[in-house]
Amino acid sequence: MFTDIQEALQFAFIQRALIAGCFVALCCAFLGVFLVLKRFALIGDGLAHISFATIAIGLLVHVTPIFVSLPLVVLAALLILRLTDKSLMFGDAAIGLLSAMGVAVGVLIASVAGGFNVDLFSYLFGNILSVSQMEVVLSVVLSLLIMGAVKFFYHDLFAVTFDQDHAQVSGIRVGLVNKVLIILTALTVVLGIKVVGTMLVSSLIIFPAVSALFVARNFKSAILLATLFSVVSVIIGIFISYVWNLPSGATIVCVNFFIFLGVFLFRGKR
Amino acid sequence: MSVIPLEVEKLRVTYQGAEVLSQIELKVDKGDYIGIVGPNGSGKTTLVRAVLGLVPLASGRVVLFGKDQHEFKDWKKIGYLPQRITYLDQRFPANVDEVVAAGLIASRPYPKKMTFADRDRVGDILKDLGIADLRGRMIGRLSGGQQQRVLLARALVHAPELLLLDEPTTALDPGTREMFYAFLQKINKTQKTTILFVSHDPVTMGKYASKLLYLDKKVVFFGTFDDFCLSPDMTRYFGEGQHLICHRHG
Repeated sequence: MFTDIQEALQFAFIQRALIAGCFVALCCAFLGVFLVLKRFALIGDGLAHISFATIAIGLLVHVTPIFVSLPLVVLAALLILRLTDKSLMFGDAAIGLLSAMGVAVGVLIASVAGGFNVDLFSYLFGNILSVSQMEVVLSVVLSLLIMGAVKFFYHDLFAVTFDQDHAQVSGIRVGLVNKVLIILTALTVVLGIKVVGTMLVSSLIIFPAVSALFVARNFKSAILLATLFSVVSVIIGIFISYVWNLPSGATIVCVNFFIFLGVFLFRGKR
Repeated sequence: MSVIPLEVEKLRVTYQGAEVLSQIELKVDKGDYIGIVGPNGSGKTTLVRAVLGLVPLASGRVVLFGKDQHEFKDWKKIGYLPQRITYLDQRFPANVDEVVAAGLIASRPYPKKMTFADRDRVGDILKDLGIADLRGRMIGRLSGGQQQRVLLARALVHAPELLLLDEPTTALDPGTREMFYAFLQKINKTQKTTILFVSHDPVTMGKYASKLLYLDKKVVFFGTFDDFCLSPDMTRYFGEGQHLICHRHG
């Protein structure tokens, strides 16, 4: 096993997968804690479904899907926020509507255009081992931007997550902070698609955060623990998938599940 | 001349078409300690939330420290303790220091940072409220009364000039309640903090507050306790209730 890992580290595609995967994992963990506590955890799932349509559009017009997905998924995220903010519908209903439309549009485009079904469906479960140099650079740059934004808005994000009314009365621009959070989430979801695919990307946001919330004693430790769980799951997942020739996305999610199970049982014994 | 902390002009608030507050006129002077009382559903909480911009106004105007509410930016002058902590999940992973510090840092310009002086300030306010032993404890694991005192510390930590408290004593035991009233009286007298205190209990308010605002969707009475006690209109409105409040006052 150890020799296999040493061997794996020699390959450029494994190195690329580890770098891109770890950066995306950091973003997911940072945002996941806020999203789970704001009862907005499933927005990652909804946005991932929407990105299925945007990937189909990218393949249809022969543009790298990530470049089509980034702006369109951000727009969809803002639309969900607007529908929820204006009390036009409940948040989960807004997410459900748009995510169903995303999948439907993706399938329709694939069916009508034909010829790229295999490409499109490969995005459903991702393949981090096939991540390109350009995608690594994009993941690192965007991840650094996302983490910088979370650090910059940290105190506001904490205040809004803990008590939105009090945050507003303290002079925090709650609407702006919610928009920042949702835009960062949209960017992270698009980046995460290559790691685990549209079907599983929300697990990268939810699992590490939920595991961390079981054992954290303060807010900063919740974020640090989520980061640790997230990065560890990606690294272990990539190595296991290489050694036993398993799908990388599903393996990462399963590692996350075992971390969650371990934390859950540890908490039960305390 | 000091700026008037709060003026409310012809305020009207509706909820799903029904009028919750009607034609509210209010002028709060610096250093006032106002007890806001009234029956259930009389609009006490709605008034506080409307003043803070948390519910939309159907008509009328709220002026905070000389600025229209929509233009008001100096939120560090205001401290707020909400009525119930319904949002507080037992699993929320924040400790007491983080929650109280949020009240200190929120109104700062970017980049917002926590300094050593801020940590000291958080420690001081917890000590003032007799809850220094709660430092580092998770907020969700505290009792209702302890949580309420922590949230009061959050409302007070930035030394606000105007303090709005919405039924802050409901979860407190009698001993803590008396300590709490004494603390409010101290900051009202020494720092001239203006206090608006929503309560179900006009008798206790009569002991501590300098003015009484009796609401029942509109202003039934607003003035000093002396005026209240001498008012024949209030005698007609309250009957024996007026004597009960006046007897405890002073």
